[in-house]
Amino acid sequence: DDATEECEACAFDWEPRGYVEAGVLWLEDDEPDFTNYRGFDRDGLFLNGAIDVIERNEDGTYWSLQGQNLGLGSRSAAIRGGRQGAVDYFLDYQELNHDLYDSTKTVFSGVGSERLELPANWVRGDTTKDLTRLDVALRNIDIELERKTLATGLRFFQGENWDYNFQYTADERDGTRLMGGSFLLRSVILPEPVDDITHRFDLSVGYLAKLWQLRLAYHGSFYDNDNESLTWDNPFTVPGDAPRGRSAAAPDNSFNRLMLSGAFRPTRWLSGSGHIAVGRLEQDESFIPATINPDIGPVGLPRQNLDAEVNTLNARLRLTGNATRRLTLKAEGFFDERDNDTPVDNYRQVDTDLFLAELRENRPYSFEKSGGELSADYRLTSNTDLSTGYGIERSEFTFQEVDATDTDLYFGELRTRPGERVELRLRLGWEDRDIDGDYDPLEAVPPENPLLRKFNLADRDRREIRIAGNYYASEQLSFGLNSVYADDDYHNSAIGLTEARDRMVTLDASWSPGQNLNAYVYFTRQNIESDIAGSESFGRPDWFAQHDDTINTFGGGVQAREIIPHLELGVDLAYTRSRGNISVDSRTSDQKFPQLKADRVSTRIYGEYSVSDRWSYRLDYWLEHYEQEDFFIDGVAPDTTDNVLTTGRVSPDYVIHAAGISARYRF
Amino acid sequence: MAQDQGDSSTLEYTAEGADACLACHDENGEVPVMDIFKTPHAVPGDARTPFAQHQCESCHGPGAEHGKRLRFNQERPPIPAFGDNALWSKQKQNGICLDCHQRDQRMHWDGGTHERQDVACMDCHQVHVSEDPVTVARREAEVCSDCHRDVQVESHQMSSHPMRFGDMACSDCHQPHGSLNTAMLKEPTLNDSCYSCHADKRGPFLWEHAPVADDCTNCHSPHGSNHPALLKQRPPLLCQSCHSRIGHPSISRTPDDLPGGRASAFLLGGSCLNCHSKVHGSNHPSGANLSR
Repeated sequence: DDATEECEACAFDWEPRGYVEAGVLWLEDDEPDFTNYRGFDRDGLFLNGAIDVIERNEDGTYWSLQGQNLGLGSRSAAIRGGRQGAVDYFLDYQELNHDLYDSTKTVFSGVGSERLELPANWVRGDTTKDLTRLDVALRNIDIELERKTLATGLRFFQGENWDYNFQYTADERDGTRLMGGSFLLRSVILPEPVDDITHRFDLSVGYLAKLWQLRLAYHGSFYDNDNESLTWDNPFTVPGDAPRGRSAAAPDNSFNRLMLSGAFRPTRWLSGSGHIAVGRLEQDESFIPATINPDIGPVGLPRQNLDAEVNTLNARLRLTGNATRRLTLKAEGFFDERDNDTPVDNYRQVDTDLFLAELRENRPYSFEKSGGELSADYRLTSNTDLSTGYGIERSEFTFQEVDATDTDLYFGELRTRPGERVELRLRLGWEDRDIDGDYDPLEAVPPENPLLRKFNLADRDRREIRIAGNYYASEQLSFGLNSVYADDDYHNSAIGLTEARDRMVTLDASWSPGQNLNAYVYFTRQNIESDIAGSESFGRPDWFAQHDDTINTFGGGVQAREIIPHLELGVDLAYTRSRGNISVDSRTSDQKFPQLKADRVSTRIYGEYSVSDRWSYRLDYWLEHYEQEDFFIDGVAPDTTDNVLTTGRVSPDYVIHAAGISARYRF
Repeated sequence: MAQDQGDSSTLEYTAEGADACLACHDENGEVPVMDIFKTPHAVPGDARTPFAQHQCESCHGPGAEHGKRLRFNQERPPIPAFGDNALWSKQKQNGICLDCHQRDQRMHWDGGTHERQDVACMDCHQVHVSEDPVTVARREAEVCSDCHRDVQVESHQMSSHPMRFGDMACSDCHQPHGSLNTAMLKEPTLNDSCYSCHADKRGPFLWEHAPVADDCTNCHSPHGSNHPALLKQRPPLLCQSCHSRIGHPSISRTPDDLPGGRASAFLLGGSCLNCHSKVHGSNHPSGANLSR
C-alpha cells in the first residue's frame, strides 16, 4: 500500500468502464451454410447489441457484465464478480445455432416429435417409383439444432494454500437431424428429433504449498434425453409388411469421476506432475420392445434394461530433470483402462421390425492401454538443441479381433537458430505397431473376410517428418514455414485400409510496422490420401480404391488504427478450395467418380470511426461465396434410388452479402 | 534460448518504483503500458498483485541499473525481464508468471509441449492491455493461429467446429498451459473431451461400435474436414476400411452406381448410413446391426 501511495504516475482506474453498442444487421439470404453458428434464423433486418462493463475497486472487489450478439441466435452473456484472491463467481449463458440443411424434404408429419406419420391417403409401394402420392406429400423442412448452455460457478480461497471450486453447467439441445430408418432393403431418411440436456457438476479442492500442490476434483455428467425412441410409418410394401418401425434414441447415462492431480518441484533441477482418475459410466434406460410389429408378437428380453457399467481408470505421471546445465531428461508413463462390466446376454433379433432372426450376444468392449516414454533434450550450442526419445505402448482388448498390440515409438528433433533472424525445426518420428498374437475375425453371419484388418487394430508402420522455420527479415516483417509429411503403412492388411498419407505445407508472412498497423497472409496446401482394398469374391483383394483430398487455403488480412485519424479499418479474407477424388479399380473397370468440390471465399471488412472519446460508429460488411459439388447428394431426388426415400437435398451454391451498422458509447 | 545474465541478488530496485518507469514508458511509447491500470495486476488491495509489491519491477525485475542516469554515449542496460534483450532467460521469465499463476492445469507446465518448445508466456499473453485477447473466448483462436495456422485453416473446410465464428475456443478442448495427455487435452482422454459436448455418444450401449469407444478420431477429424460430420473419408469407403463381410459390405461402388446408372442406395445419400444410422451404438434390443 505504501508503494501505491508513493506512485503519482499510476493511473489506477476505479470507475465503471466499458461500452454499450446497438445497431442493425442485414442479411441478404438465410443459406444454412452461412447462417450456421452465426446466429441468423432468417434473412432481413435484425436489431443487435452488445455490452461490456467492468468495475474494479482498490480493495480488489470487481464485477463485470458482458453480452455479445444479443439480437442473434448466437447470443451470449456473462456476469462475473468477486474479490481478487478471495472469491470469484460467474454466471454464463450462450446460445448456438447449428443450421444443417434447408433444402430437405419429407413426407412425414409430426416433425420434431417421436412419432412421424404418413399422410392419410399415402399409397405404399415396392419402390420409390411406386409411391404415387410422393410428389404431393413432399414438403420442405429445415434441419437445425439449437444449443443453449447455462453455467454458474463459485471459487473461493482460504488463506494462501487452499482453494475451492464449484461449477454447474446445463447444456440443452433442441432440433432435428437426419437418420435412416430401414426395413430390410428399403429405407427412408427421417428427421430425427433432438431434445436432450446434459447436467455437469465440477467440484474441486486444491492445496498449494511452496514446492508441491495437490487437487482433488469431482466431475459428474448426467445425460437426460427427453426422447425415448422414434416411430415412423413404413412408406413401402415389404415382405413381412411391417406397418411402422421404431428406433431407440440415445439412452440416458451418467458419468462420475474422481481425480487427484498433483505436482512437485523439490529442487530447480527436478519436477514432476501426475494425475489419477477413477470413473464410472452407467446406463440403465429401460429397453423398448424388440419390435413394434404386432404380427410378430412379444419377443422376450433377457432383462428390462442393460444395467451397463463401465469403470475407467486413467493415470499419468511425468518427471522432468535437468541432469546437467545442457541435458534435460524426461520420463512419462500412462495407464488407461475401460473396464466394461455390462452383463452379457443373448438377445433375439427382429430384423428391422420385419422378421425374427438369430440370437445375438452383446459384446461389452473393454481395453487397457499402458506405456511410457523416455526422452532427452540436449543443448548442443547456445543456439542449437537436440531431442530424442523412445516410447512403448501396449493395448489390450476384449471382444476384438486381436488380444493386444505393441507399439514402439522413436523420435528425433533438431531446433536451431543458425542466425539472429532464422529459426529451424526438424522432427522425425517412427512408430511401429504390431499385433501380439493372431488376428482372429469375430464370429459373424455372414462371415468377415479373414484377410481384412481393421485399421485401428492392424500392424502399422508410421513415419512422420516435420519441418518448420521462421525468418525474421526485420522486427516488423517475418515469414514462416510449417510442413508435415506422415505415412501410415498397414503392411499386413490385404483387405481394408492399406495405406494413408497426409502432406501439409503452410507458408505465412506477417508485417507489423507499428502498434497501429499489422497485416498477415498465408497459404496452406493439404493432401490426404487413403488406399482401400476390398474383395467381392471373399478371397484375395479384387478391387482397390483411392480416396484423395486436396485442400488449398489462401488468406490474409489487414488491421489499421489511426492511419486515418479516428478511424480503425480491418479486412479479413479466406479462400478455401477443396477437391476430392475417389477412384475405384475393380476387376471390370478402373473408374473415377465425379470430383467432390467445395469452394469458399469469405470476406469481412469493418471500419470504426470515433467521433469523440465516447462515441464511435461502426460499419461491418461480409461477403461469402460458397459452391459445392457433391455427387453423393446432387441429382438425387427423393425417388432417384429405388429403395431409399431420400430428402432430395442439394449442395449449397450461393453468394451472400450481409452488413451491419452500429453505434458504440464508451464510458 | 537466451542465457541468464547477471546475478539476480546483486540487482537493485529503483527508489521511486513505478514513477521511475512511467517517466519514460507511457501511453505514447513503443509499447503503450498505461492500460495495465485497468487490469487485475494493478490492484494494490490484492496483496498478491504486482502493484501491491514492487509495482512494475515485480515482473520486470530490479530496474535500478536500467533506469539510472547515463553517461554520454553510454548504452542503457536492459531490464532483467520482459523487455528488449532481457537479461533473464525465457524459462526464468516464465517462472515469474508461474510464481503466482501455478494452480490448476499450470501444474503440468514443466515438461509439457509448449514448455519444451521454448514458448514464453508473453508469446501468447499481453499484460499491458485492458483485456488480454487470448483470455477472450471469441478472440482466442486468433492468438493460437499465429503458430497453429494449419489448424486454423481447417475451420474453413466443409465441416468444422464453430471455431472461426468464435463460438468455440481452442481452450474448450485443449489446455495450453500443459497437460499430461495427447494433444494437451483438458480431459483425461480424447473421448472424454468429445463427450463433454456429445454425451449422447457416450453410451454405454447394448450394441457398441468398438472404434467409437476406442477413439473418436478413428473416423473424425476434429478441426475440420472436406466431408460432412467431420469425417475423415466418405462412406462407403470409410466403412469398408474395416468391414468386408460377404454381401453388400464387400462390393465395390463405382460410377455405375450414380444417378443415370444403378442409382444405388449403397452409395448415394448417406451410403451405409442410409440404413445403419446408429453408428455410435444402439440401445435397441434388435439393434445389433446398428440400424435401430
